[in-house]
Amino acid sequence: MQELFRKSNLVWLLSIGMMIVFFIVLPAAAKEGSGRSDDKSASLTTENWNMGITVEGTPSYTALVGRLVSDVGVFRSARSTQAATIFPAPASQKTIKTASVYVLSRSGTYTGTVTLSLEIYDLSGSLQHKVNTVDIDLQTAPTDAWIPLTLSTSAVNLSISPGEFLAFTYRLNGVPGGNLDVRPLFDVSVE
Amino acid sequence: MIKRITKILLVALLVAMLTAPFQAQASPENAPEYGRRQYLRTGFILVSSSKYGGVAGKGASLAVQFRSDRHNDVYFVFPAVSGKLYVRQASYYLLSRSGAYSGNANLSLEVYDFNGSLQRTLSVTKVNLQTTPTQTWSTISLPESIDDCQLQPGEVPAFHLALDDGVGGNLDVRSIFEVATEPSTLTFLKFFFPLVVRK
Repeated sequence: MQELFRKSNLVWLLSIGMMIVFFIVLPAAAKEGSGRSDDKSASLTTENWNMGITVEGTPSYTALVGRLVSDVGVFRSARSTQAATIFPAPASQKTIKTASVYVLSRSGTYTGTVTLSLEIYDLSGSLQHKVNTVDIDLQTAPTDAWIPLTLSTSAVNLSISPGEFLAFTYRLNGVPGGNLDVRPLFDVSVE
Repeated sequence: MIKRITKILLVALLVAMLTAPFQAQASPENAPEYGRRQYLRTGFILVSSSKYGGVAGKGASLAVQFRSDRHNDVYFVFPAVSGKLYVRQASYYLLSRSGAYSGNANLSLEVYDFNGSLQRTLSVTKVNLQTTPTQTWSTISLPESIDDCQLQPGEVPAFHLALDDGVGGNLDVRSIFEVATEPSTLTFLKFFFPLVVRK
């Protein structure tokens, strides 16, 4: 009877041990071995977007053909009332988590206001959503620091659907003029 | 009675563990995740030759224009990486299409070495650029087995736009692309993964 009890205990211990190895130890080792340990603060689907193409006028995606990707945007007040730095269009739904701007250089002036905002367009260039709540004044924004954007609290405004793209849009409140030249960097985190 | 239930549980557990590696091959879309997913959307445009040295001095692009009166072959080549990767999903979006071409104008996803030699074709079927829908994201059909979707160090994935009947006509296609990749993992973990890690 005592021997039977011991055997039964042994069977239970073996079963529990195998379950621990199979369901706890192996998955933990898997995470370690697959490089996830480097991404403790980021989910497996987080992307950082900082390369785009700057176009003057309406930000139609077709306008990107033949233009080159850069990590620095450019806006010159003498050229057009509107321009945009466009990020690559995703094929699946993305949610914007954070967005920041760094004014790398600024020279010249413009008599009116010049603003920068983060917006979502469809691929034909129609505005769908405005992502930030407070526009950045490109003539007064600091030039030596990353500036975080205040994002909309509406989930809809932070969501990029297939067939849409994200763009930083530069706007003058008047006609082209002056000689303001601004070169910003961008960092947008999406999941 | 308890002893019998214990035995049954133990046998079931052993069977589950032993059969895990022999489960059906996971397809690229639903195979377990091995690491952080990376999306390739920016690439370089090569004309006529897919030799990777051709990207030197070129700027990166987000979109490609393919005109049937200009070139037989145009490649949208993604940047090379040093580690082994798996292609998990590939999509394309035709921004616009105009004109016509008398032969076939096809799109396929291929893998090349740095010398421009074709290593394998990832797209199961070629996309007919004259009939595929425009202004919507479409998915490329990938091989059934995730093992057939590997990218080895020294290889680059590329979308290949090709004519089969020589240059001519006035077909004009403008397209953008996305390829989702994930890094490789240790073999023994992959062996056990089917049961322990799912997205």
